[in-house]
Amino acid sequence: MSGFIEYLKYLFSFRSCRDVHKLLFDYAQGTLDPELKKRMDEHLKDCPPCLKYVQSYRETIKATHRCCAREVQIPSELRAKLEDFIKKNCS
Amino acid sequence: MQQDDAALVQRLKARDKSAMEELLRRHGTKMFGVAMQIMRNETAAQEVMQDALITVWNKASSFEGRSAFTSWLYRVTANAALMKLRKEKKLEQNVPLENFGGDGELPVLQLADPGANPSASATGAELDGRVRSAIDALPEPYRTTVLLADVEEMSMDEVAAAMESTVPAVKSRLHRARLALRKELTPYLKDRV
Repeated sequence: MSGFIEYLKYLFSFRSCRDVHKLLFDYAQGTLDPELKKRMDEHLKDCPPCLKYVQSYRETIKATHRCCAREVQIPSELRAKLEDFIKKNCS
Repeated sequence: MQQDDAALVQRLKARDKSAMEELLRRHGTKMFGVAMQIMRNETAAQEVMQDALITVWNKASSFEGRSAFTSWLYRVTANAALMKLRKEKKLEQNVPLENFGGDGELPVLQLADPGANPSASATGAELDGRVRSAIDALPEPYRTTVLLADVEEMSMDEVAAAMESTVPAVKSRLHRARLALRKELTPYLKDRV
């Protein structure tokens, strides 16, 4: 029962812009409790500064991935060295 | 697990040396990518690859198939890279969070070219350079956490395992690192937000 009350307190804890900051990580990860997510979505509709903040957080994640997640081919010389390494060391 | 990888794992467990060559052909590019992301240097990445290959050879028998084989492989590679950083003392574990400002934020990062005009919208290549500089300016273990989670898209569990840390610690570091990157990059992302 006390767990349920704690859960209700948790659900109704979302009140202000400050809570956006607290919940931002789980919101961006998609791991936020659905009811809290709904409350946060409602807040974001009416709060342009928070919306902008959340969007910039998400855009940062996308930019990080876009910039760095490129396939790096193993140079052929290095590949040959690694093949040689396997021959010598895996027995 | 992919059918092909299941067969490959069986061959590795049977100590079939040709399976290691197959592993390098099939997954070497991604392993090298992980090593390069963390080490940023081809010679160091080669050493990491060698350490990771030896680990795979010696520990394939302990792979139980609870996660995808590729996840295990990339975790082994990331772990080998982190071991190397630790040996070189570039990775300070347990950086006290109280070192990072009053409200729990990381200090403002300095980009490589602070003289640039942040109001100008960056071209793709310029933005890439700024993102890379900002990531490289993050202190460890924040830099590696971002690389593994947001670049290599490893799960929180996988990052925690690779970094020999806990999921809550990884989440906290990742969030703080993202906030620091956001602070630094927002002027350049303004037309995209």
